[in-house]
Amino acid sequence: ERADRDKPVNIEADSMQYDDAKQVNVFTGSVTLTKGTILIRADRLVLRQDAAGNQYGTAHGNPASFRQKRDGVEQFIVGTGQQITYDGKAETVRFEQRATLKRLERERVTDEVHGNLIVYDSRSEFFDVRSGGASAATPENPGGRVRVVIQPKQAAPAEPAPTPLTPAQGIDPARR
Amino acid sequence: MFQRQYDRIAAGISIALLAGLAGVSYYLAEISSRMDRSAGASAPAHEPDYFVEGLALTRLNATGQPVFRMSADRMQHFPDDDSSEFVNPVLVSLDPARPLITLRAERGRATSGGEQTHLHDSVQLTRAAEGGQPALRVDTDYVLVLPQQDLARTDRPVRITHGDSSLTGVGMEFDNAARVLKVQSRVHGVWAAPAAR
Repeated sequence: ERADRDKPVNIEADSMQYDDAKQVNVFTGSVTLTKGTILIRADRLVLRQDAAGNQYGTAHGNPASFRQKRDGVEQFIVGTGQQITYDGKAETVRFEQRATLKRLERERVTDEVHGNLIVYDSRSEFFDVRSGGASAATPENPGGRVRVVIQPKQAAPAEPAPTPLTPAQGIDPARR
Repeated sequence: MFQRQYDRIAAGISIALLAGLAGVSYYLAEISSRMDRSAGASAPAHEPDYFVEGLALTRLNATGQPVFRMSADRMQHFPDDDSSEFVNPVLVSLDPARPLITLRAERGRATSGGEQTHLHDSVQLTRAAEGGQPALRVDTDYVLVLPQQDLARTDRPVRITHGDSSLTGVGMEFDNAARVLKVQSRVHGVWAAPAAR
């Protein structure tokens, strides 16, 4: 969500090492980062903050996972990858090495993307995918090429404005 | 027949005499050693032999440069283990190449030679703000300072505040030389949102 940008970052981990000279925090051991609706889980997270206070995080995991709710819609973006880089300033998330990105609507996967590098721009909610070729072959994606699965859209249930209810005159089997 | 019994009795008597003598001398030795132990400095009680008020101690390194300064409202020295106890100690690391590190506590105890300084109760480690970077502060209730290795360490819960971010955990080690702070377990950190753009 767009509002995530101004939310504080909460991090839980087993241990932490802070390099005061380089101002880099390294968290290790079942790391979870939450910032508004953003949730990142990883084994290791390197967090840096620039002078303006923007946060940059690089999460490593097997795989590391990322989740964010889309703006104003009951939909979630869920991504995984061996390495996830979160750029707080540009609000982009890069998924690398066996990267996958799914769009979920109430736990139903609507779109799914596999590739070697997926860059998701959470501000515009667009993502682009680059294949890794054979080197990025994974069991589900032997060719290592980009594989996109787009589910047929149901008649998107328009958010019905509260329509005034009128008692039914009779039973009409044709119109359900 | 009588001769042998006489010999046996004589031998018995002399042995008894000898044993008696040995016993008495042992008894006397025991008494005398116990006597001088209690009369002289018997197991020296943990009593101070001097105290200093308004102390400011500066430790120099091999080349004579001040390495760190310890001040305290009051210090008591104990001869039995050559340790010193401090009230409101303040340790300041004086390395010009690095930002000022201050360690303060309500009570402190330094072992002989000062290799180890134990700080107790509302202990605060502060790295002064420098180069546009906010100050870093660690609060806990016990810290072991190892001046020779430039280390401060605790296994107690810690709260770390750095600008507008704060972090809690259990167990901490601050390596002043490498300027690295480690928190051992149960880390929970909160970074405030970047300044409203």
